[in-house]
Amino acid sequence: MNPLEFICRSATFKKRLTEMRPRLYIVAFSWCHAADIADDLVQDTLIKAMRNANSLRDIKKMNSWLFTILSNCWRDYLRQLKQTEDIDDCIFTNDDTPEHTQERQNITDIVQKAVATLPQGQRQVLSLVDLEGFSYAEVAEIMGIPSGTVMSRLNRARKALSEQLLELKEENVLTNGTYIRVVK
Amino acid sequence: MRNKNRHSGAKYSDEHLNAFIDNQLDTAEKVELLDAIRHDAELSQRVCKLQKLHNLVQLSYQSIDVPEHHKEQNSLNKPSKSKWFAAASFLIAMGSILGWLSHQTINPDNLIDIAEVTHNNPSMNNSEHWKLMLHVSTAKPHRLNIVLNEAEALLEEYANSSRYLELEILTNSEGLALVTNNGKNYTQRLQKLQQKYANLAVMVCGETLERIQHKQKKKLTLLPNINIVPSAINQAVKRQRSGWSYIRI
Repeated sequence: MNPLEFICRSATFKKRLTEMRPRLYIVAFSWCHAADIADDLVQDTLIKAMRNANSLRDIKKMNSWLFTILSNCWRDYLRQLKQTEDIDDCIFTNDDTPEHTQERQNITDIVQKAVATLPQGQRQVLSLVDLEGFSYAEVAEIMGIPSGTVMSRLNRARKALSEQLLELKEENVLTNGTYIRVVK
Repeated sequence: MRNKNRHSGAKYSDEHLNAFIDNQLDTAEKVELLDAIRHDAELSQRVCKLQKLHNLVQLSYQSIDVPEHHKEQNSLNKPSKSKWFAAASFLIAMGSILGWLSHQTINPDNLIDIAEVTHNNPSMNNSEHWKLMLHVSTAKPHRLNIVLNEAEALLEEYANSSRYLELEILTNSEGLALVTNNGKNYTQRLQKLQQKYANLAVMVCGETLERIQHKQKKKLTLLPNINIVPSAINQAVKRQRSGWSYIRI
């Protein structure tokens, strides 16, 4: 690599890394549904990305490379969690606290809650496809699983969500508290 | 991806329909499926259902509060003054070269190029009364102007025909720029359109409005005649369920 290429690449790398931070956070949040854990996951991802910048051969693949790191950080986090408690018993957002029950039950809450109840593999695939628009092949590469598994996980995830969300009674989802007011 | 029965919508597996929603099919497969959707109401419903789920998930995470330190304006590590000077000199030099070499900026210039999600309601295609929602969540002036160009062209076209158009522009997230940046070229254009066409409604997401006001600790001034809806997601889903076509930018 010549010096000019190196300088350009380094500048592009940092710029892209900065641009990607909010996107990484949103996907991390959709996996864990906890702001502090999502924050830690993104910080870990950024540190690892900067330390291993040289392993990124093609800067055009930086997005999927970053999400691969994020996915690995998430896996490490879950592994760590498993040493102390069974991951199957771990519910992220369904703990009913008094604060939670008082929250306004709008669609955002309902959808996020439904996504949080999906098995974590399905949740990961769903958010990479729906929130980041990755192709199935890219998701397979990021998560280190076959494309067929990506498709079946996505299908199962959407089926489960469909049962939870689209089958909801109309008044629960849409008309509850819906009103329009005009500002003059 | 497909089952063997070739004469009904049932031959298309859910995986195949998911692949269609996620733009994973090749052109020939898409054309075949679109043709099947046109002739099979049940298949069309299955596709709509998946598209709605996709939209729901996407929209539900759009309003997440990203911590300030993860937002774009924060640099990862601030360089020293000498580094700034070196970088600035380099950029000036490179800028001059690139400025010389580049003749024009490439910008997409129509709605479909900038649309992130589109959902057309097939039952409305031949209708005399077309309902369209344009959901804007960007503050980029170029994109806002494209939305207004398209809105203006559609409103004008329908005003001169016997058909009726109901157009709703829904703003949330950064899209609030369209209804709050008074004095900007695009807000003036929007106001003119509203004065001219009664069939144009402009909505703003109450949740985004509340969040921004809370963050800025002051009340935002909206343009006149803007409707506040409690939640953009709620409004988008409600409209799609009642047969509106939907395009998100």
